[in-house]
Amino acid sequence: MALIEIEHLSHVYHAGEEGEQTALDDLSLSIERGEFVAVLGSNGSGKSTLAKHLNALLLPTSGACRIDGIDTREEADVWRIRQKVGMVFQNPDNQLIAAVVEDDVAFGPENLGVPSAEIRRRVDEALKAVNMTEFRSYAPHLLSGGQKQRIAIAGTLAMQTEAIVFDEATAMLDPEGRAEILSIVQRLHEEQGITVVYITHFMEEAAAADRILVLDHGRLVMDAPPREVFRHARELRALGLEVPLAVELRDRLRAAGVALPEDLLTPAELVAALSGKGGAASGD
Amino acid sequence: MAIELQDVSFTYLPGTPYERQALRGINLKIQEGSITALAGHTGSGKSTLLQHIGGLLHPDRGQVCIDGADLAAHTKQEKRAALAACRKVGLVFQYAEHQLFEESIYEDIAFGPRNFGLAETDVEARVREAMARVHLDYDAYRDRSPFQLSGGQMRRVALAGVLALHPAYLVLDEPTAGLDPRGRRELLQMIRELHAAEGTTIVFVSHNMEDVFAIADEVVVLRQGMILLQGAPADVFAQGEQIAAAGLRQPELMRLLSALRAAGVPLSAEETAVRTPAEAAQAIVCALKEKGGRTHAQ
Ligand SMILES: Nc1ncnc2c1ncn2[C@@H]1O[C@H](COP(=O)(O)OP(=O)(O)O)[C@@H](O)[C@H]1O
Ligand SMILES: Nc1ncnc2c1ncn2[C@@H]1O[C@H](COP(=O)(O)OP(=O)(O)O)[C@@H](O)[C@H]1O
Ligand SMILES: [Mg+2]
Ligand SMILES: [Mg+2]
Repeated sequence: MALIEIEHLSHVYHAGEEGEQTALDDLSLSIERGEFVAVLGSNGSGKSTLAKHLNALLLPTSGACRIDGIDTREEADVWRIRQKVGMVFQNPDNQLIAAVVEDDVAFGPENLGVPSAEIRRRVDEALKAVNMTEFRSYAPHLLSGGQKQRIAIAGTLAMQTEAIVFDEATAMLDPEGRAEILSIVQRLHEEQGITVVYITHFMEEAAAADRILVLDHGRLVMDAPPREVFRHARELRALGLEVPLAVELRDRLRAAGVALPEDLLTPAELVAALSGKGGAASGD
Repeated sequence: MAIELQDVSFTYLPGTPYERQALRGINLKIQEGSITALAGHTGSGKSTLLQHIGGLLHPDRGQVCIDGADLAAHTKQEKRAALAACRKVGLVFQYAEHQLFEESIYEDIAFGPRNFGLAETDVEARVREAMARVHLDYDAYRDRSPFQLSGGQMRRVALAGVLALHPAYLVLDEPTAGLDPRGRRELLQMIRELHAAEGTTIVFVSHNMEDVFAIADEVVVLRQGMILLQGAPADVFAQGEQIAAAGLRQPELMRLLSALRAAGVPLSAEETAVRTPAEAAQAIVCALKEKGGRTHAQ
């Protein structure tokens, strides 16, 4: 059984009222344990609405969303679902509630009634995993945006969720903060096998995923590995998206007659192919 | 005329435990008609500097002059000049869409011109013109609530509200932050168009070096409240070590071209500083031809 199973999921805001808005339209997909899935789509395509279904912040208007087999509409199970799927949102200022960093990280497990020795152990581990141990007794408002996002991640780690959904979690960060968050997420994915759903507007970040979902007007229009998705530059642009720079150069150079693999993806591959050093990437 | 900062220093919350010096002896002249980017790591003082240019903050030491008028005036006479100077500057805050508040897009954009005491017919003309500048159809959008729009459109409404005041200097804090790729492209395009059509002087803060590279003709790199580098983007970004010391990264295009050059593709230093993928592809094709043998028609 896949960790996340979505079947014919539709979500309509204000159904039957003025301003009715279909945000998700008959979506079906599943995400296995341990996958790293990026979600792309222009503004309003339904990414956040999808994200909020994954931990029962929103419920399907029709169709189903199951997390580890639990239907999110089973009200009694909402807390079991939130123990399985954590969320990190865009605005770091809205996510931290306690006056001290370590209390914030402990908040989730405390609510679940985890014994205090165990909480202390989890908080230590979670802060260590995001390289924030030295800030444990700081007030969150004294931290930078990137540091606050790391604390928000630590909060979900302390819940020991199996999956973390990042909803444009790097959008408000500077390039350095963004690179730090992505590398922490990659490490947690690799070392702890955490399932990652990563919503982003940065194509280079999406290129690091195992798989990319592309949404358009609430529909799933692509579902494939980055190498495959970024072969379709024209379609992506028509959806208001972009391709990574190396891919754009690849296409321009190919159009000018330079022999390059049509699924070339990263700057390193482009450099290797053009300098004639080593076989450039063929699809893997 | 120009924006001139002379020896500007500013400290937040002086005399409290949170005291923080944000600007340290800034000397800067921003030429009329330029597009100037302020770049720097989080906390380097970019927003604080921008708010000084907008007259929202006044320096502890030094002065900020717009077209020769000191924004922090003291005598009554000076105050009138300072107010007039201040009105030449339109400030678009970071995440400006969070400050929309009126029920309709028309009302939101009309707020500023009305406050300036314009007659209602003039106000309407200003709203029409500003909406055209940000590519929002007047008839289709005037009565809509700004809150029904996408994030990118809402930000454009906020921008229109400032443009309706006809600023000679448009000052924007992180104008593309958080937008999707299309929203980002469109917003940069609008800034370019405005600059070309009206000659408006543009000053913008960005931590996105791609944006800076795409539209600025002058870049000022701040570090810990001081100016570390200043000049044409190609020259400034070529200084890799200094850029790293400022906590920034070179634009991705420049990094990629530099990597190609280091790997033996015969690109000149100038060619590694081209600004668009189209120019880069052209330079690479030429370099490969020079190197010989690696290109062949398909
Ligand atoms: N609370 C809401 N009420 C009504 N419509 C909403 C609400 N939230 C989102 N929408 C609409 O649903 C659609 C999808 O929005 P969203 O999931 O936020 O997209 P994305 O995250 O991809 O930008 C958009 O048309 C948006 O305007
Ligand atoms: N309202 C404020 N009160 C106290 N300190 C502030 C305030 N705004 C900014 N600072 C501090 O001033 C410095 C410069 O901040 P800012 O100008 O916002 O930088 P940037 O825009 O480059 O990120 C930082 O150290 C920041 O913490
Ligand atoms: Mg969203
Ligand atoms: Mg700022």
